[in-house]
This record gives sequence, structure tokens and C-alpha cells, in this order.
Amino acid sequence: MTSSVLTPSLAPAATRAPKVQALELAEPLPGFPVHRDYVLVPAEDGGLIWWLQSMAPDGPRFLAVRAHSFFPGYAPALPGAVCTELGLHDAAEAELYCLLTVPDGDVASATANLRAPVVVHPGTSRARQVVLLDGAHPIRQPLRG
Amino acid sequence: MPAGSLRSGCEILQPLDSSTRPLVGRAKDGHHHTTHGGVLVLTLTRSVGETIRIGDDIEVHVVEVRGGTVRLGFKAPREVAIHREEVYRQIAEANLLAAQVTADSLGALAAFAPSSAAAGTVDAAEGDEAADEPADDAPA
Repeated sequence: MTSSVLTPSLAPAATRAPKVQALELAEPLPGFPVHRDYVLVPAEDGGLIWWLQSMAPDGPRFLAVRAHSFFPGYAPALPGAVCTELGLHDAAEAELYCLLTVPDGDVASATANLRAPVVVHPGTSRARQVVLLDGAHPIRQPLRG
Repeated sequence: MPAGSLRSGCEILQPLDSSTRPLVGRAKDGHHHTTHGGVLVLTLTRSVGETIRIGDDIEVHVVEVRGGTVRLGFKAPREVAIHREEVYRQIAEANLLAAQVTADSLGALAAFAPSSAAAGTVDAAEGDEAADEPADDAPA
């Protein structure tokens, strides 16, 4: 993989993330209580879709999108406690990934979870999935507008 | 009631198994234990206006009881996340579904990324559970 990770027209400002980033979750993902160590790996050349892959051999893997790439208006309020926990001085530093669901492999009905983004400190490996208090962000936001 | 007595005999307080409901009885002295999925659960009876303290810095206030509904107020440090159980369960279910994904659909998914002209899709979207149950965050 030698190409630039991000397509400039889509994400001009976010070029900080390395191509493969290890993540240490402060809390396991709900539903997967024993897994804390993951890697974020680009799933395609455009830098739009990533694998969130458990480092455990039998662990889960997910597809995730950079929130701002697909949902430019998405700017949820992160609880201050999350910023403290992850060592973020400013919530704006965080990189947000949203997990994708592709029901029965039907791409047209794919959704992204905006209610519980995976919040990543770009400078460290610290991350966690944050269940937003604000119920206005849907758990199943259609990926195709 | 001192906080220490609340914990006596309560070995582990874990998130309850979502598939069953706890067997909560009512005791005259407002204090007994039930088992739930093998986990010992401390059960207390409180009246409106009374408080339960958890550890040194968490308070649960019984604000109102009406019919089968209880309004609770929480005082807790900012780092303590407080959610309705069902929200957490929904996220867990969504995660379990998300983990069934395969690599087949990658190309098509990437094509859904909005062009710069299509910004603002989120603004128009309404949550599937949006604000139908606003947080009862009035101070207790």
C-alpha cells in the first residue's frame, strides 16, 4: 500500500492517521466484552472504509467509515469524561469512526451507527465506542443518502 | 444508612442478563438479596425523596413514583456513564450485526460516500429513536 490514504476532495483536513493503527479500547465494544485490542486497517484504496479488526484470532471484525467522510455534518457532543479518559484536550481532536451494518449482504441497505461512534485519539492508541446521550443520532443511518 | 451496609453480602453487581428479568421482591425492611443469572443482586425498598448511595460519590434519588414508573435522579462523577439499559442493549445488538459483515461489498460501499455537493445528509436525518424519551435530567 503506497498510495495516499485519503482522497483529498473528500477529506482534505484529516491526513494524520497512519495506514494501520493499533487501538486499545478503554472499554470493550458492547456485545464483545472480552476484546480490547484492535487494529484499524484500510479496507480499500480510497481511505473511506476501514476494517476494525480484533487482534484476537477468533475476535470480531467490523467495517467502519470515517464519520466525516460519509456524514460531513456529523459533529456529536462527546461527553467530557470520554475526552478525559482518552487524553483528548479538545473533542475536536478526536477521530470518529462509525461501524457499518450490511443486512444480508445487501449493500443498498447498508447503515452506519451514528449513535455510538468509535472515538479514537489520533496520537495514541486509545479509543472507545461512545454511546451518545443525544438520541438524535440514529443507530442505523442509511449509508446511501 | 451508611454506604457500607448497602454492600454487605453483595459480592458482584454486574450488568444483568438481558434475556431474563430479575426476581425483585419487596421486603418490609427494604433490604434483601435475590439471585439473577447466578449473580447476587441487592434489592432495596425506597420511598419518594429517599436516596441510595453507591460508593463514595454516586447518589440515586427516587424523584417520583407513578403507577409502574419510577423517576430517578443521579448524582455521579462525570466519568460515570449512565444509560438506560435498553440503549446499551441496542448498541450491543447493532455491534453483533455489524460483525457479520464480509468483504464482498466494499467497492459498492465506498461509492456511497457523498461528493462535496451532497454534504449535510445527517442534518436531515431523524433518529430512529430520536427524543421520544428525553432524559429526565432535572436535578433531584
